[in-house]
Parts: sequence; C-alpha cells; structure tokens
Amino acid sequence: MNETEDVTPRARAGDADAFRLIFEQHHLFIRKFLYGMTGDHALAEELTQETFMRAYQSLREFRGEAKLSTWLCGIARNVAFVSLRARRYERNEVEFEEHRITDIDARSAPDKQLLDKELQTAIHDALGTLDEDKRLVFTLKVLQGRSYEEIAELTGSSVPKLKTDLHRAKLVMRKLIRPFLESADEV
Amino acid sequence: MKCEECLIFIEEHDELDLAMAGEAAAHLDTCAACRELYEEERREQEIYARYLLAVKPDPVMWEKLEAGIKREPSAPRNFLFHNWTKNIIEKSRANFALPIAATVLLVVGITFIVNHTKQPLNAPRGEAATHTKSEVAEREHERVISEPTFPNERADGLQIAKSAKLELHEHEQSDVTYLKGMRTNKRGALSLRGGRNVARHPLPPRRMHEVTPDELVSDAERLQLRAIAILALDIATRRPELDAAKVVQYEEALVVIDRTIKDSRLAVRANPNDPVAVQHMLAAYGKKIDVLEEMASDLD
Repeated sequence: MNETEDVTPRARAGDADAFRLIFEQHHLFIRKFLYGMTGDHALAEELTQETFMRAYQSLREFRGEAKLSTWLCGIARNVAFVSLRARRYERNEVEFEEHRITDIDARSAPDKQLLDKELQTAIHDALGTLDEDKRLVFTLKVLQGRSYEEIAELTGSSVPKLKTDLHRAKLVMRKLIRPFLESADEV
Repeated sequence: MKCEECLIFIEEHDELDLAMAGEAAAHLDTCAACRELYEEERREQEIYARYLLAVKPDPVMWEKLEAGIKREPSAPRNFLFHNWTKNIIEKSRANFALPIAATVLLVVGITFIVNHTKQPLNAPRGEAATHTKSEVAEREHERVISEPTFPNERADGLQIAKSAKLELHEHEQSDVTYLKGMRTNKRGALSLRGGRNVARHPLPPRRMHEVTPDELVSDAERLQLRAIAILALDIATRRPELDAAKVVQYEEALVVIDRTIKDSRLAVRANPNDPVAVQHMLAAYGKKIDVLEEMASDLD
C-alpha cells in the first residue's frame, strides 16, 4: 500500500507509468468488489474500466485524506450503484434475477469440481437476494476482508449499522448456502 | 466468558484483540454449542473465500483502459497541460539556469515586440502613464471588439467583450499590488494612495532603453490579452458552426487554463520580480491562445 501511496503524487502530476502502477496494484481488488456487487464478470470488467477512467480524470482531486484503495473503492461503489439502478430501471427488476438454488440438487453432483461450480452459482444467487447495502458490506467484509472502519469510511455508515447489516446478510446467506455446506462436507 | 460474548467473538473474530480471543478460545473448549457455531462460521468463511478466486486479473485490461483514456479528449488535455506546467516548475526548481535563460529570452523577445509593434503604446504614451495598465488594456480590448470585423455578428462580439471585460476586471482587483511592484522602478512617478486612478504626474515620453522589465511584462500581457480577445471574438461569431461535443471539450480545457492564468497572475502580482512566475503566466496565456487558435482552425 505504501508503495502505491508513494506513486500517487507522481500519478497526480501526470506520470502515466505511476498511474499504471496504481492500476496494477488495485484493479483486481476493484474488479472483485464489482463482481461481488454485480454478479456479472463482463459487467464487472466494464465497470472496473469505468472506475479507473473516473479515477484518472479526478486524480488531482484526491487529497490523500483516505487510503487510495478506499478512494478507488468509493468510485467503484458509485459506478456499481448507478449501473445496478440503471439496469433495474431498464428491466424493472434486480440484476440478480435468477435464483436457482432450489433447482440445484447438490447430491446429484458428486464430483467436487462440479460442486464448486454449483456452490459458486449458489453464492452468486444468494448474493443477489441481498439489498445493495447488505451486499456491499458482505462483499467488502466477508469476501474481501476489509475492516469495519474502512467500510464505514467508504459508505459513510456507522460501524454498528454495518455490523447489523452484515449480521442480517450472513443469516440470509447461511440459509441459502446451507445445503451446499452439508454436501461439501460429504464430498 | 458467556455464550453471548462468545457469539460476538464468532461474528467479529478477525477484528477483536488477542485478550478477548484467548477468553473466547477457553470458552469454546468448554461449550459445545458455541464451538459448533464457530466451526460453521469458519467453514462458511472458507467457502466465501473461494468465491472471488474465480475473478482473475485480465492481462489486457490496462491496454483497454489506456485506449479508453486516449479516446477521452478532455482529460488528457488537462492532464498533459497540468503535467507540462508541473514539469516547468520542477525543472525550474532543479536548475537555476532555466529561469535565468527564460528571463533573458523573455526580455529580448518582448523588447523586439515592443520595438516592432504598432500598438498604441506610442500614441497615448502620456495617457498610459496616467492610467493603470489594465485600463489601457481594457480600452485596447474594447477597440478590438468594436472593430467591424464581423458586422453581422455584433451581438456575439459584445458578449465576448463582456467576458473579456470580466477578465480585465480581475486585473483591476490586483492592480494595487501590481503597482506596488511597479513602484520599485527608478522613475517613481506613480502615486499609490487611493488606488488605480491616482497617478498624478504624467511620465515624460519614454525612450526604449528606459523600459523596465515589469513594463515589458505588462506590455506582453496586454498583447496576449489582445490576441485572446481577437480570437475569442472570431470564435464567438462563428460558434454555432462548431461541433457541440468539441465545444464542451474546448471549454473544459479553457477552464483549466483560465485557472492557471488566474493563479499565475496572482503569483506575478505578489512577486513581480519573480521570473518563474512571469514565465508561467505568459506561458498560460500562450496556451490559451493555442487552444483558441485550434478552435478557430476547426471553424476554417
């Protein structure tokens, strides 16, 4: 992280190599976050580009008050919310529209690889049932291991609210994932 | 530790301190229910940790982004301009020879311009001494604007003149500071008490060898403002012919340049003898002229 912080002034001054370094150090984190939020690889890629494009355009406004990763994640969050709302408006439904968990019989897939695939789908679909705030805190905290403090800085929400959201999100996720947890134990 | 406290540990085990972790571990050894919950939480974590492993780095994503940045017209313009000015500053700081050489070139260039131009420095010389430079510049500007270059587009011309006046008004705001700088010259003919219209004693007609560096800078600034006014008028009269998207791009670039002009002008007013500040201000004016010329060429 320190290395990135060091290159930030250079990037702000227009050093393309420094901006590339920032991109290389952070793009995977941002892409994973966007995948967690959207559940769509192609869209996550598109939004990652959009995030870094915006970061490039407004890097001079970055004052270093927050971590660069937090600042980037804030941009990504805005980009994701705009995209999700636009899609919901277009389709009049949430992006994660298919909930196929009940269709999948985990026991019919003894092969571990197949089970992993099904588990991926199950998590994907379970995430889709969460509202945006809960999905955000679940993605950042559980899937990406960020601290409550960072998430609070990013979202502007209080830590107790984040904890409550996360607790509820975990309950929903647990309920939907439980059959797969049991199957995984058996394999 | 009670089970309720242990549940907190289970939920937040990655953010709690070691002391609490020790207590929780002791509780887990003795409480089967809590241990089961903890194991379930751990198994879930392992599964969730695998979820995002499917997202791999895209080796060509930077190329795509770079292409997108290049397609984005406004940002690089601002970015590059900013970079360009920063480089000048950094080089200037690093190397003392650069500002000295730039100042010498500047003085030689401006002397040449003053010697060869037909601008009304000569005619109203006495008048120039009784007014601030911004008044002279403003009058010059109005004269340029009122010339019937585009008689059918007078309204647009006036609009541009108004915006140019605004810019010149900003000059006036900092005139006192500027005049303080001027006072350091040997002629000492300007009285500063009371603001811009208090020059009581007209100066004797100037000879070229008496022109001071700050007067040269002032003249250069005025000439550049005149060029800007002419170009702005030209563009304003034909503005509807410009592509709307391009207008937005140009305006974004001009906003950045105007900000640089404003900042560098303030720096010059604060330190009239600072060659680096003068260089930046004139360079910023030059950049504005470049952009306006580009706009005008788009209309040709």
